[in-house]
Amino acid sequence: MNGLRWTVAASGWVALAATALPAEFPLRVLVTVVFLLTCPGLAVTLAFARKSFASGAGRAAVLEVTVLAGALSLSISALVAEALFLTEVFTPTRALITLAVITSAAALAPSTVINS
Amino acid sequence: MSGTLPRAATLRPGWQRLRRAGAGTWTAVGALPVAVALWLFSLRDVHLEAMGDLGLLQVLPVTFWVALALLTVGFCAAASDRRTPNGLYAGYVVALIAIIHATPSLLYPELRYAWAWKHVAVIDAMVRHNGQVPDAGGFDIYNQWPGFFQFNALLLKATGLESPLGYALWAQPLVNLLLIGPLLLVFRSVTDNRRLIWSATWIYYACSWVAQDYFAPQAFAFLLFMCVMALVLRQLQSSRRPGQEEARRGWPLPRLVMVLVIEAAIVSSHQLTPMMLISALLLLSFPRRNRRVTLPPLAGALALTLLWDLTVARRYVSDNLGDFISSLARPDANLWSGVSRLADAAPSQVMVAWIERGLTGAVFLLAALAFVVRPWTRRTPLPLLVLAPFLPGLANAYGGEMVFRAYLFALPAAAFLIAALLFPPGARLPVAMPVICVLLLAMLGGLVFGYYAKEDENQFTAEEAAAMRFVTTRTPPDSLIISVTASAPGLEMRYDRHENLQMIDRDVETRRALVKDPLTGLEPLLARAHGRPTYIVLNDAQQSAVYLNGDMPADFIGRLNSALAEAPNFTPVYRNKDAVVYRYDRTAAGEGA
Repeated sequence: MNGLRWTVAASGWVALAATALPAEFPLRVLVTVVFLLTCPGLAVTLAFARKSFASGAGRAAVLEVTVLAGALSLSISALVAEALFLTEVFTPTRALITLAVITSAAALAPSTVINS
Repeated sequence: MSGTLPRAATLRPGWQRLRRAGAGTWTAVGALPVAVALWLFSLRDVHLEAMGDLGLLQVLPVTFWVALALLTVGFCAAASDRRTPNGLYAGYVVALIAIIHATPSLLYPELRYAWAWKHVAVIDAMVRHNGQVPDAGGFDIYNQWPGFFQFNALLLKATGLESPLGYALWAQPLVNLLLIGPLLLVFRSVTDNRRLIWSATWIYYACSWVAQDYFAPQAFAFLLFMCVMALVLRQLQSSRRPGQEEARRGWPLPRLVMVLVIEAAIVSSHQLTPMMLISALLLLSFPRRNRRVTLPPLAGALALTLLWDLTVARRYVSDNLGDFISSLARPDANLWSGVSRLADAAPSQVMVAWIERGLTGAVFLLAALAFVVRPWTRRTPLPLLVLAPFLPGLANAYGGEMVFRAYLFALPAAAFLIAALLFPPGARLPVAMPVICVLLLAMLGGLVFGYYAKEDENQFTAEEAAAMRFVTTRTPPDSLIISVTASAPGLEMRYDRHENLQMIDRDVETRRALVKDPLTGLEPLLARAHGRPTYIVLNDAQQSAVYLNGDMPADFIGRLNSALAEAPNFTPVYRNKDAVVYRYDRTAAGEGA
């Protein structure tokens, strides 16, 4: 669990670093797409998993965490993009930094604090 | 040896089940790869140019249909054995999605659906303007519900991709694959029966003919809508479980916040989906026992929608408030407005429309039958979710599409009810499996008519795309671009720099004048240019659309093309085998420069 949390926490910064690669470079496309579609939601879901999903168990809980992580990633990425575009301050770097901060904070925050 | 575990104990449960499986499961295990191989083989030799008024139905070879039928028979064989593992069912559902939804992606050289191209144009404009698009005209609505578009803009900027066209081509298989998760969660919230859960999932995909799963905000919002429904139903299930005192108190706060975040993304991405969400949560709140769970997300959805409509979307909402209020007075007209325009359509499309209606009617009839003969389904939230989409349906016509949108939102719950009717848990099947198999084949038969029979106007050639690229990038800014219909790939690209005008959107008198004499009828449209450069673009898909939908007489584009070719004041500036672009020369027409 700890290894996964650290990996997810680092994912946004890795995606940000990947933007230094040339446009359309396969590694850049892979890293940024995987980050935007899975990591922000996975970080938030991991932070709340212990308490929020204690009532579920087994496969249904795993499926629920997966669906929630995906839906939250899409939602958080879309909302961050909208907020930056609507305030006319959008740059891909700012968007990825915002998402990386959210992802790291959620992934590394002690669950006792968040769940209280 | 005495200390080692028996071999079966080291296997995962699914494989253990497979080892003990009966003839049905083993038949299904054999049929699946054969069906997939036949499908892939069938795609080797498809001649898209032979497509006519029944679209893909006319050009797909027999092996394609054999593959689809074999897959259905295999699924029925799997469902006939209670020990069939989840993995095998999942393989069948994924194969069904691949066959139905990946076939156009694999066959077509260009993105399917003119509307999908329109959404690509919006993303392109938002990337160029770094957000809101000025001078958007009729596209201003997308500035006010930008979630889907700006998410894609972020994706493009982060990856460095030039355009979403490459991945938009795969949107339909991808969206449907992603829907499997929330569908399973919804169904698992009311039963643990594997066969019932997967049969409901199969029936959903076998009846989802309305094609709202392409590269569009509604597909994005529908996926998120289903995720919210899954989370709400799971929470309802937890709140009723004995011994779960904490769950009985309603939502844990972090979990509720997560639901509200998804709701915010829905509210900012699409106009109709928040209404469907509010309606579903409202109906789920009718039973008192649900309210502790359903009222917080309902209040959240209402507050977020109100906030969005009063701020970012205020311009659109205030401009259309009068229409919205007046449409409240004619609920029947709203719901059925899209179903009545068949008088001039091609005979094949009249038949297709009746097949679509038949499938839609059969789905609701079977769901109603399940409600009557399977009393346990009445204790689930699913009958309420079948009814919920019809509330917004009564309030607004949504451009004539409301009944189809309502069908889409009702389908997941209706599919479960149908599965409960055909595959009741813990009992022998009420009718013989061959009869069920024929029924599932009939559903797929209806689906392919609804989904594949209009492809002559939905699929585009590389030549058509090249002509649209010419007219949108090589003509002066502020040009007026006139077409007969919008069935053209990329016609709306750079809509902030060109005005687009479609003949079929004009009033009846203008259309009558065009039909009587295309050149004379064009004059009022050309006058709208007010001296700006003007182009007329015609392509094969427009010809097909005119014929299939009956918006104009079938020979209209041919007559218009001949008249333009002979007229001295129109010059063909681009031509290939599938499209032509004419420039209107005002000097030659005697208007002066």
